[in-house]
Amino acid sequence: MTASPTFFDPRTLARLNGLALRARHIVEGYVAGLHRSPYRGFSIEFAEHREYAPGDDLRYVDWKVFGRTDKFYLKQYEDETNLLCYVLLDTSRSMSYRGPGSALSKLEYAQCLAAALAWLVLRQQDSVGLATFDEAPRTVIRPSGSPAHWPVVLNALEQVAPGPRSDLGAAFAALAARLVRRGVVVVLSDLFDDPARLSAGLRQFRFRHHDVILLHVLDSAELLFPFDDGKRFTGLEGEPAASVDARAIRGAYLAEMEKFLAGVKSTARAQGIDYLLARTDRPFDETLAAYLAARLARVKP
Amino acid sequence: MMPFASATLLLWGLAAAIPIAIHLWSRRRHEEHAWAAMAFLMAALRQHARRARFQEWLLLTLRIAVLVLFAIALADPRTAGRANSAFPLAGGEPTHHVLVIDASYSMDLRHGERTGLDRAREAALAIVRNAPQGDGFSLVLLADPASVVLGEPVFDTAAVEQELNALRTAPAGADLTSTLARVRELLAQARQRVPRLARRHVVVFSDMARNTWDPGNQATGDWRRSWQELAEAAVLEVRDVGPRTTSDLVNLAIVALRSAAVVEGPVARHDLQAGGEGRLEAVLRNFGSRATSATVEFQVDGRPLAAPAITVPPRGEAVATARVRFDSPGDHVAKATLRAVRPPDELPLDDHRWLVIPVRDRGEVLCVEGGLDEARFLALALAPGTRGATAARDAQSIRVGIASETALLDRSLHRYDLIALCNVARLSDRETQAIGDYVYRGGRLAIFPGDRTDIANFNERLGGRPRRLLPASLGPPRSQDDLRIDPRGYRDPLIAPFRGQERAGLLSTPIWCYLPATVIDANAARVALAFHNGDPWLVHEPFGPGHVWLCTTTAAPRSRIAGSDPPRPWNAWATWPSFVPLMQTLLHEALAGRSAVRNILVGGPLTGAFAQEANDSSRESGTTASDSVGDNARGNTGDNASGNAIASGESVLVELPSPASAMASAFAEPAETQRIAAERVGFELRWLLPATSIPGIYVARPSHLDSDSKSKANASDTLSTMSPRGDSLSSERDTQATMGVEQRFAVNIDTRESDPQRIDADDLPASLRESFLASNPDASGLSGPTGAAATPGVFRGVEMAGTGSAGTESAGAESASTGSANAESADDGTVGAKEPFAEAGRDDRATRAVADSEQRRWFRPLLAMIAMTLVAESLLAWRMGRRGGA
Repeated sequence: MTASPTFFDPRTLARLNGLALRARHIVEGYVAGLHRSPYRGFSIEFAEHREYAPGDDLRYVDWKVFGRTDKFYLKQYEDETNLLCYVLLDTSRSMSYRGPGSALSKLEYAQCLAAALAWLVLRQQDSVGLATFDEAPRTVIRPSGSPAHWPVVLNALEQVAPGPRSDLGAAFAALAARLVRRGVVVVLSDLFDDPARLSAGLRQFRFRHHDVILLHVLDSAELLFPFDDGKRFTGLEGEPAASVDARAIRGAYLAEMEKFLAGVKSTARAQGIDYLLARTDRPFDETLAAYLAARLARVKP
Repeated sequence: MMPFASATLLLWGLAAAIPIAIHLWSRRRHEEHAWAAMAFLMAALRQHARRARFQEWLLLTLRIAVLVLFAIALADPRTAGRANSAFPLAGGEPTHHVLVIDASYSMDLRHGERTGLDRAREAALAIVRNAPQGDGFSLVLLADPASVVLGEPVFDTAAVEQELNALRTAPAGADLTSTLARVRELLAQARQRVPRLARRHVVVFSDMARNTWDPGNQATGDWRRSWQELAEAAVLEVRDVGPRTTSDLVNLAIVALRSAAVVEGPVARHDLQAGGEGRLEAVLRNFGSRATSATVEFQVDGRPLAAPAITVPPRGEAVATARVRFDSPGDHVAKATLRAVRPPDELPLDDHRWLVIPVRDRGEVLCVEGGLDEARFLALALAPGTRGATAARDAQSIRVGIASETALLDRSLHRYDLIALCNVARLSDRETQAIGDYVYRGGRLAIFPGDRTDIANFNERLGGRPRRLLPASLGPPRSQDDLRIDPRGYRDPLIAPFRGQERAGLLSTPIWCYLPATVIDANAARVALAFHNGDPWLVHEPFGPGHVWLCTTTAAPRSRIAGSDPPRPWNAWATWPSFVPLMQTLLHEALAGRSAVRNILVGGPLTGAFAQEANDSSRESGTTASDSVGDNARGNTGDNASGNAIASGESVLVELPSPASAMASAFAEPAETQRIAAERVGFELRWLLPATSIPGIYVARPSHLDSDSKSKANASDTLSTMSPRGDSLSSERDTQATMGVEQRFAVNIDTRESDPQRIDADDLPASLRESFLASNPDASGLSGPTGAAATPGVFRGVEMAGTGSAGTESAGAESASTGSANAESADDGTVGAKEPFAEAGRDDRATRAVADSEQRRWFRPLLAMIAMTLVAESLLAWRMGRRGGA
């Protein structure tokens, strides 16, 4: 059984109202498609025993083992081994851009992705946390694996309001300080910031031994600059407007963009960060599959 | 500055504001687009901005330029500046230059070191060499008739130069009218065949001789109309290559050479009888303004005769004479040459003249009588010695044959010097035809009607078209008793000998009946004698080279007045003392002019006929018993008998003189021999050389005789190569000439062209004067004594024709450029003389013609510039677009 591609088409999703509906749509379509997926079982880790030490909570003593061996062993539960997934969503104003060829803005696309990821993680009994940021962290939801956490995450995602501008370095630094438990950090952003600050920000996560996955959300228009005539471009984040002959400037723009992407990729590579380009005109399953492949590669080196 | 024909159209230039507006508006029109990746955009902008802005402005400029140029093209700009400001010529369209070079022989007139033709050639070569690549050339000779050397435009300048270098003058005048017409045809043809030659430029190089340029020239007609027509098709220009002044030129010319009989009383010894004595007269004219002396060398048949020295006053005439006597019959060639001309003559061509004098051993007269004895008295009067044998020489000198009408058809009439129709009743079509052929080929006819004459028949046959032979139409006989004679002042040469000789009986001639006649063409006909009531008695009229005398009464006393009882004769003239002298003068007149057909001017046709009657008379039995001429053994009868009969379909060989013979002796080696198809008509072998182009002696003979005599003379000679002649005739040729089987012709130049007098600028039409003065700034010397001796300029268009001061400027420029020390050219008087001309003679048509040419000159470069700008614009736009898409 194969999933209908329409499940993952942003254009189809754009017609759906409500993030819950969109996320469920995506994930159900995806899970149905993952019928024989090899990634299915990275859920419950093994338990381990360790000798009791004074001060340990007696609740966790394994009485069966004590009965057989007369020694105190503590039963360590899977709690420690659960996947912690932090989804960081960039809500700066630049994310609200929607190109002429796209059905969803970058933010909308990122919201959908975040919701779908959260749903996926929760389904696997893992914990998911959410943070939105622009120039600083805005909403931070602590990770939880309970099914009741899902509406909370969803609600937070729906409540997102675009912030004025992005400062990835500052935001990441602040967030890294708050994400104390080691986990997987999924960054959903267009990364439109100074590459040096971006690099510094990402390094903060790596310092705390987070696995970082960059989901670089870009509109196809930003990648291809498909404009032919004169346009007056107004900056979403308060930059001065510029009237340009799009056709004339296209080459130079594409060169700049290329340079930027190359810079981001090399930063990611240098810091052992998975980098994924999420184009808003591409179906979500492509992006999800790429994400999961990256995740698998990380789990099973 | 550049004036415009339609300045209002320049307003289209405002359209240039359109791209500016578009440019500005398109800036404003830029669609707002919220954009996230501004940083990259700004970076790209910074990188791109400088070049983009430059290219954008360049594009804008080009677009504006297209529109501005288009507006200029619409507005039709005119160049008022100098033509040799390089652009219009260098960047203009290809031009068809028609070089019209005056080839009349006055162009040979030497002034300074060079002749007019040399100057014309130089100026033409300058045009050819300075013309831009792609210009075509035609070369036409202004001559008579016009001669096209290079018709279709030639692009190979080397070929044109070669033709120019090979140019020679023609020994004739020039027919400006027909030449201009030919040029016009030529232009029209070239326009069709080589349409890319968009401009047409006609340059006439001429010495501006009055004989050529006089609009009142009778021969060539008014050329001004042709000029106007041509001006509509091309830019016309006249280059004066003539002398600045004619005052110091020396040209002495023999304008006529003629033989005059020595008149002894009323009976003449005319020049064409062997043994007769005559006089050669050479008429000299001095065309210069200084008295000139020369020796006139007369030659007859190559033998020097006399060489009188003579001085001719300035612009005057003098006659040099030499006595001459011809002992043998035949075509004798006389030549007069000017020798030792002081001061030296500058035009040698007109220092020679030839005269062919056909000398007979006797004159031949045919009297055609309508009834018995009608011609008897006339025959007696014409050859008084025939029956009486009083004067042996006279008996030989004139032979009169009497025949009936049938004789008109049974023999060649060509050999008769005079044919008289005596009381002939009717003429048939064929007879009329034969007489017409005879007269119109130079024959002389005397008509004596009588009581038998069918007046209606005569009026119809002889008085009608196409070939009229009757000077006056005849009415029914009128009898009147007291007819008195009006000698009309003895002005007519026929009557002139009677002047002061009242007792000769002319005025008392008893005439009672005559045919009242009405002169048909009062301009041509000449009434020699009339009756007191005004009715003509003796009327003369030339028809072509021939002459007809009409006597309105009979030459024999046999005609009777109708209804008279007892019968009375029309007159008693034949027995009256005036009859014989009158008939003798008539005979003299008839004989004297016969050499006219042998002496023609260059350009005229040569025509002749060889008798072949013996051949035919043997077959036809039409000879009447009364014909005393039929048995005339004239040598060719013998020839015919010996097998040299002229067969029909034969051809005639004509030896042409070589062009160099004009300068050499009379009997230079013939340049070439032409074979001409001859036509057999009746008893004659007729031939025609349609045009002559070289002065000199032409010799014609039937081709079979030529081969025969040649084989006798020199077996190795071929038909077409004539052996060189010595200065004296070989005896054989003498015989041939005597036998009438060889005819000679003298072709002389028309010396009107010898006059170096130049046309006044005032006599030129205004349009021409304008362009002429413009292109020949020093041409004002034409009308005044100011002699600017500057050489004709290098190539210069006629654009300056529009500006009054152009002439002055270019004169200065020219004298500066030539650098020659022409003291006179810088003369204030010259400049002063020019101004009024230039100011006065504005002609719209000339300027319009010039302007048209300029429009053509500007329009295409403008279009080309527009096209180039458009191409550049689209290339740039494409490149900019491509750069964006890359």
